[in-house]
Amino acid sequence: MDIPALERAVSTHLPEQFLPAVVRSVFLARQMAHAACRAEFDDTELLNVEPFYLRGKVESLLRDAAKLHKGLGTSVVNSSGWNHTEISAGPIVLTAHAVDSPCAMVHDAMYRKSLAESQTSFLDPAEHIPGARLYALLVHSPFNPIPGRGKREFGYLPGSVYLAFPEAALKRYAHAINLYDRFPDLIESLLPKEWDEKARLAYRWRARQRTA
Amino acid sequence: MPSSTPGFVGERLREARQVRGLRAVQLSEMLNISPQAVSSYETGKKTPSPDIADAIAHKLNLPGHFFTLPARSNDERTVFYRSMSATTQTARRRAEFRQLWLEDLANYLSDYVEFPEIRIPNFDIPVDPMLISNDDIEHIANETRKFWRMAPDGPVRNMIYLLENQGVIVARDNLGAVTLDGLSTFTDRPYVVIGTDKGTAVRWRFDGAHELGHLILHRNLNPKNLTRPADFKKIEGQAHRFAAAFLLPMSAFAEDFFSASLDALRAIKPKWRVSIAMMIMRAQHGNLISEEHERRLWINYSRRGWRGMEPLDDTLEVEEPRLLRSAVEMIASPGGQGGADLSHAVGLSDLDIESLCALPTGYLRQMDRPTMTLRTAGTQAKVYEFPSVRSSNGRRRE
Repeated sequence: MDIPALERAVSTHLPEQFLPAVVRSVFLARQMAHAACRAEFDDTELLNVEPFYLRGKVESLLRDAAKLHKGLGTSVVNSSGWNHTEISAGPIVLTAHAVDSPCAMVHDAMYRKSLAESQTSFLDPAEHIPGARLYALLVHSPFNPIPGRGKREFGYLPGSVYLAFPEAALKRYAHAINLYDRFPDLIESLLPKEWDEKARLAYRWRARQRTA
Repeated sequence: MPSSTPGFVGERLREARQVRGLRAVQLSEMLNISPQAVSSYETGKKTPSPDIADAIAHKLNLPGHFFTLPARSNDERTVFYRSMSATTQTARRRAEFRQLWLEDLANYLSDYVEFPEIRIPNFDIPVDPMLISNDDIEHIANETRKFWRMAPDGPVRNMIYLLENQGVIVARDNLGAVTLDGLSTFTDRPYVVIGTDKGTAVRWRFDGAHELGHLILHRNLNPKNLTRPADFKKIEGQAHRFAAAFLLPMSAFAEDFFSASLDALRAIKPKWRVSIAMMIMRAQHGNLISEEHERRLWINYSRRGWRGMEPLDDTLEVEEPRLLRSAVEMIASPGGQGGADLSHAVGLSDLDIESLCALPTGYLRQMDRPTMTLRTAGTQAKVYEFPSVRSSNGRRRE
């Protein structure tokens, strides 16, 4: 697995300010989805509605974030009746997904499998194919400090944000970058002001507890 | 019975009438006299009888003393009005007189209190506004921050306090015209009046920064420039640009502007306390977005109904001046002046003084109350039992 080449591709093709913008977009989208859906629906419906609202907000904010950076392209692709946003930067193609826990594996989808097909070319130098794409997933999970507690109060926070690179079969990630660890100052500025140091440490620690 | 009031100054009557937003005919109807009589009083051909003079003072809500104050000099002053082109001459005159009243008040108070030193930077700026470029203005806004030792890239915590701390006398006042957002002038010291007829906390902050732009960029302007529409438009545009650059330094804004969406701008509005509309313009100033994208932002802005009122406009705190208010509070301390003294000295009504000094209504009347304190040392309250109330049948009523 050629992780250095992969990291190099990220730093070469993704503008320096884009990944912080991605993190901020996820924080803002979750906050807006939480507020809007909670204002309109009871808990029963909230469970069904909020993920859709969240997806819409994350994707639209990411598209608008990408427009501020030269070299990034955006496209909305229809696949099996659903639209999703693809952000392209050189060979990198990025899509965004909400998962249940930090860096959890995304579900199978035709378009994801298709995008991950040429992944081997980047992950294994022996398999290098010129013009191959590198598929990156922006995976973000909800914040759930203690089951049943704090969810309502701080439920608008994401629990983690990762940039993950799946293997071609889409069964596991070959590499993942914890964006909380990469941008600690930014995360610090986005956390609730009333949190003490202990709460902040616990929050960042939980974001590192990857499922697999 | 005397038929005239010696010392009555007709120009003061015109001033008072214009400040109250009355036409001569309206005032004559209020006084049950002919419009010609009002005109002859104003031009000084005649003076009113003492009864009429009293009625004038009463109807115009000013102390009688106001009408015997000397006429104002006709010195040419450079007064910058925001939204001047859309404002009537009457509204402008009214606003200018209100600003003069503010000046009278500040001059009087300055005999008793020390106002902050005037620290408006005087950069080497061309007198001709046509020679000032947008790049110059961005640079001057940054230099102004440096001059005042402000953080180069942080939000302005309170625009009005900032102006006051640099020696500017600021008032928020109802100017009687929604088309007039504010005005400023630099005489013995700088004055800024922010119109409260319409607006929001963020707009009024912007108005303060806009007037600061005039005080710095156009301090040495030839007043004739204000009468030429092309020059005037340019001057207003420059003050706008200065306000935007001062409140929202480009490098810091570019860092915060993480997504070219209205949602992202809404999210950073509480930090910078400027309108979302201004942030869109600022993004365009810095070429952060394409023209096409800017156009789409404006379409979405209208579609969301934000032209009338933006999100958070009802929650962000309005910045109030405190300099004159503090000065009045200082001279009103025990043993000091009363409200009536102040009103007489400046020749204005309580309401006008309270409004221009950002004092609560009724404050000056309160000042006139005798100064007393509760005696506490060596005394003890005595408790008397409340006499029970008995009804006619002798039973105690609860």
